Amino acid sequence: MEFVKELLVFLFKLLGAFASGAALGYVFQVPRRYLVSSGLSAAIGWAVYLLAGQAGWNLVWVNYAATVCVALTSQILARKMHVPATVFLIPGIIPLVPGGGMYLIVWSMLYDASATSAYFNETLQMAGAIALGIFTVDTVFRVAFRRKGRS
Amino acid sequence: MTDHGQNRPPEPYQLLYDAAMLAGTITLESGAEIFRVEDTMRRIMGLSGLPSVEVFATTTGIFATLADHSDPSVPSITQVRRITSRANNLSRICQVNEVSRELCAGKIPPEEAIRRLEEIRTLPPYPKRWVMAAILLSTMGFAVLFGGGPGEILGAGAACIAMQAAGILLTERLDNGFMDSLLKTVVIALATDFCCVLFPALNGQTIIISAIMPLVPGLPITNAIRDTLQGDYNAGLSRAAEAFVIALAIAVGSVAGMGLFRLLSGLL
Repeated sequence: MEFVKELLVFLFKLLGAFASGAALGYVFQVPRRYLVSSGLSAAIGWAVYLLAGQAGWNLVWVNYAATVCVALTSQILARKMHVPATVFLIPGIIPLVPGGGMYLIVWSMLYDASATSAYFNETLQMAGAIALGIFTVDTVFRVAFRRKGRS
Repeated sequence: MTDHGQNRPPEPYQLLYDAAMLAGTITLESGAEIFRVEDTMRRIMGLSGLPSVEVFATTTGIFATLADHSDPSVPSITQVRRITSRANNLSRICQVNEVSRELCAGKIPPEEAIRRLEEIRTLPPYPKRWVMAAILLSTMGFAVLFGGGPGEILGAGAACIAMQAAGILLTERLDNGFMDSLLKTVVIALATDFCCVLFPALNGQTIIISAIMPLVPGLPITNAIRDTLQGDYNAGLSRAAEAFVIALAIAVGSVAGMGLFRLLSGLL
């Protein structure tokens, strides 16, 4: 029973990720027929984020794994549908951007100055992990599909 | 577009050059990565078969040359295009990509490509009210994915509506990324604190983070990373600066909003 409840909560969160991914796609003017895919890319990234977090991974690795999955999904979808990968990459990455970390840095400045540097470090590391994730997948695809098409 | 009088270059080169310039301008104005802009233009200009194809794009302008230095009968074409307006529009990037692919595959002539590119440029974006609704939906989605309950979802929605109302009233005329994000975040912080005073059981952190997320500079960050990887350090740095400025505005805005609320509630 407990497991079913947890699963439902998990799926509900994925639905939230899907909705925000598709909605952000709309805000960025993604063509209508690709909105579902951009929502999907966000949901996949968040699924990995939640599962890796549940498995007790370090936050940096969690972000890295989630970004790699989003970037992979985007590149594969982009090649299948012949559109630039950005269309799926940007809506997929945004939920992972450490907006919470940025907020906590500021919050701690006002209410708990001793925690600021820890939050700052953590946020910077998460941003670095995201950058590294995009780097990794871009590089792999560039080597694999050298001079064949645009990523 | 350029008229060199008697030196006017043969039509096909000029047409390909114009198509490339137009494609580059549209993609750059729509927030594409620099390497995509340069790659698209180079491919289109490369169709001319001339040996000298040079493209240099930055976030604020394009320079391009099409020439054959070994053959003096072919006049060289060089133009500079300044990019002043920018609005993120992934749809235009997609469409230009499609036209460029068809042109490079020989499916359409340059004239047809230019006509379609001009058309892409005049295509209206999604209606404003639906974009605002989408921002609201994404905020509520963020509240869900950050583990908020029904209260937090509604609270984030309320903060988002307050932010968008402020956007219409204050920042629409501002035309300045920094002040725009700053004022919007102030409003979000005030609205969140207000919600939390009314309903103390709410998790204010989830609400404020969810409402801030649509303002987070996701596109500049992604493009900064990808441009840097391609060796476009110029574009990477300027995109990173853009992302940093917006992040700073959000940080300052939320401090100001929270501080302002503390001040106001102290007065009452």
